Amino acid sequence: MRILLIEDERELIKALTTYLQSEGYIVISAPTIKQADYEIKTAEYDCILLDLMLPDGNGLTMIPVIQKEQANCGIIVITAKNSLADKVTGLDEGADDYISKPFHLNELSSRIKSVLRRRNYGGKNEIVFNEIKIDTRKHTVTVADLELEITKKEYDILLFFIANINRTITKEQIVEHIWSDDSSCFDNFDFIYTHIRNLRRKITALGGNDYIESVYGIGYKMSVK
Amino acid sequence: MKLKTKIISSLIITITIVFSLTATLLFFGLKKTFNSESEQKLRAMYLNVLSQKENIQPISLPPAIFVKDTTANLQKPTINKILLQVETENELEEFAVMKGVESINGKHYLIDVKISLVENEDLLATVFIASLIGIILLSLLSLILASKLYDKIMSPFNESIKFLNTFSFKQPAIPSFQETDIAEFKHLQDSIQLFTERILEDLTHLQDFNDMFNHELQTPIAIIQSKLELMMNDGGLNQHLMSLIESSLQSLSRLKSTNKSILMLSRLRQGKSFESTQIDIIPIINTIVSNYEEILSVQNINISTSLKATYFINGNEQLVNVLLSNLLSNAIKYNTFQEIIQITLSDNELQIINSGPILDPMTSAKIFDPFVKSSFNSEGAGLGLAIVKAICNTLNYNISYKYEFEKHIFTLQFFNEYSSRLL
Repeated sequence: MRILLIEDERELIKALTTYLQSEGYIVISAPTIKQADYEIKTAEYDCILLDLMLPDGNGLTMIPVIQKEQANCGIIVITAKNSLADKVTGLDEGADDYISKPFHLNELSSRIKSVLRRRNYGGKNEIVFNEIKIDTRKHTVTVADLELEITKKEYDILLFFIANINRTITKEQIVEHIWSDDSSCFDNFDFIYTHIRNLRRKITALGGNDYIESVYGIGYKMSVK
Repeated sequence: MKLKTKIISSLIITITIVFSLTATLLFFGLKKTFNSESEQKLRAMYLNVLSQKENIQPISLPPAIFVKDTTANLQKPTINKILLQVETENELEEFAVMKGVESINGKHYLIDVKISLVENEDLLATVFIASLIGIILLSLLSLILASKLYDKIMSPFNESIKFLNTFSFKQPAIPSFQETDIAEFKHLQDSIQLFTERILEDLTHLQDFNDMFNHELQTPIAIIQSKLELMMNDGGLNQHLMSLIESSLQSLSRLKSTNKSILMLSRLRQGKSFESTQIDIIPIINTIVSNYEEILSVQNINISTSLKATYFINGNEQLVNVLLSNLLSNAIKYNTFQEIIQITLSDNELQIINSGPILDPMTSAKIFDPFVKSSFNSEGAGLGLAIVKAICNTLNYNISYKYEFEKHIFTLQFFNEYSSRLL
């Protein structure tokens, strides 16, 4: 999978590139609109991460170009936090999703996977992780073909974990993933423990393996055993 | 007092004084003129009698003429005024009398001539009254004219004042004033225009500044966060290092949150206007409460709500969300363990009540100021209630706090014509 990262901050490019490469993506970066324009017209990408504040203009202007040159490509717009106008415009213009800076790498990973699923898998909406199968259209989960009864929050958490296999996910990241803008109401994220515990119990109750483990009290990790 | 009142009352006072002086002068002036005329006539009559010379004879034509021979000594004629009873009238009339003893043809004669002053008085009265009426009419007309003219002349000034009174940052407007040929008012208009333009320019700059400042802050935060997360995923780190990373990430999280709050607060204080519509706050309250259900159950707090089925107010949905969310999270933060939090809605007010120990008076008085927080809770920047207050100012709600019966009570009032209760 090829990702084009349109972003001008060098350190951020380095961090994102390292992270996404470790996820198995091929990452190309373009720090200006001009360069991005060149890249879009000369190579194919599966997903484009588009920062709106670029040195030579507003990233929104690139959306029509991307839609024309790369019809199958997913677009995720990176906006400054609290810019409601940006979010709405970005989606109106045709972006698939938006993410607010500063974002968690795991959150980004989850969004990219989500966009790719929607764009590329057409009718196929199934995610498989060993005995756990998720139907992303119906929002149902089966463990060894047995229906798993879970709440919406637990479903979102499970999907987040699967999008970030083998990665440590902090409690804060989980809370921000589920509560997004409302997450700043919480001073402390320990309450997430209950959700995780319930999720693990439900999976193991149906005979599934306990893939989720706690990491030094910081967070959790779902890993292949 | 109003300028108009001042001008008109000054005019009235001046007119009255001048008028009184003029009237007095007029009266005495006229009187003197008439009297000297009468005196001249009197002298003429006397001389007339004298001019008879040899033909002079005693005569008695009261009251006008009286000539009689007499043995009295010669006396130069003198003029006096006397009151006489005249046959045809009932009252005493004033006369001017010229009396003297003259020698004519070797004999002494007493000559007494009188002339009535009544006509003078009548004439004086008529002229005086006529003048008075004229002056009064003139004064009245002037005052009315002055009053009308004043309104017309002051119109541009009043327009300028009205513009200043109705100017609002939420709906800033460049003024367009009526033409005026009065230099001072034109200066006023120009000054206001320049002033408004400058303020609006500053406002735009401030908004741009805030946005750019925020962006500049977010980027390094994003970089730090990404690097820390990469480190965390490294896999080769022991627990000690991992927990260092985690606490760094937590502080970063707090920084993010403070930054977000400051940005929101400064946007609200700039006086930007936010689109308002009719919104039902009941589902908003319910969503917020359900968002908090985890925390509430962990801290064993129950929320008791007393709400209508629907409750519409005029507001901006995003802001109202933040407003209610901040109030509730504040209540949760400061609530005594295991006590109940109440949310009640009645008429025009919403109350959120939590139990807790009394705050110190300094904190209590400045509870809605930014960065003010109770010593009971050191986390968080203390901006939540400042944002609540700023949102209330923007949407024209009223928020107040009191501590009663060991409970912290926040009362939110929705003052606007659109609020209604649907039962």
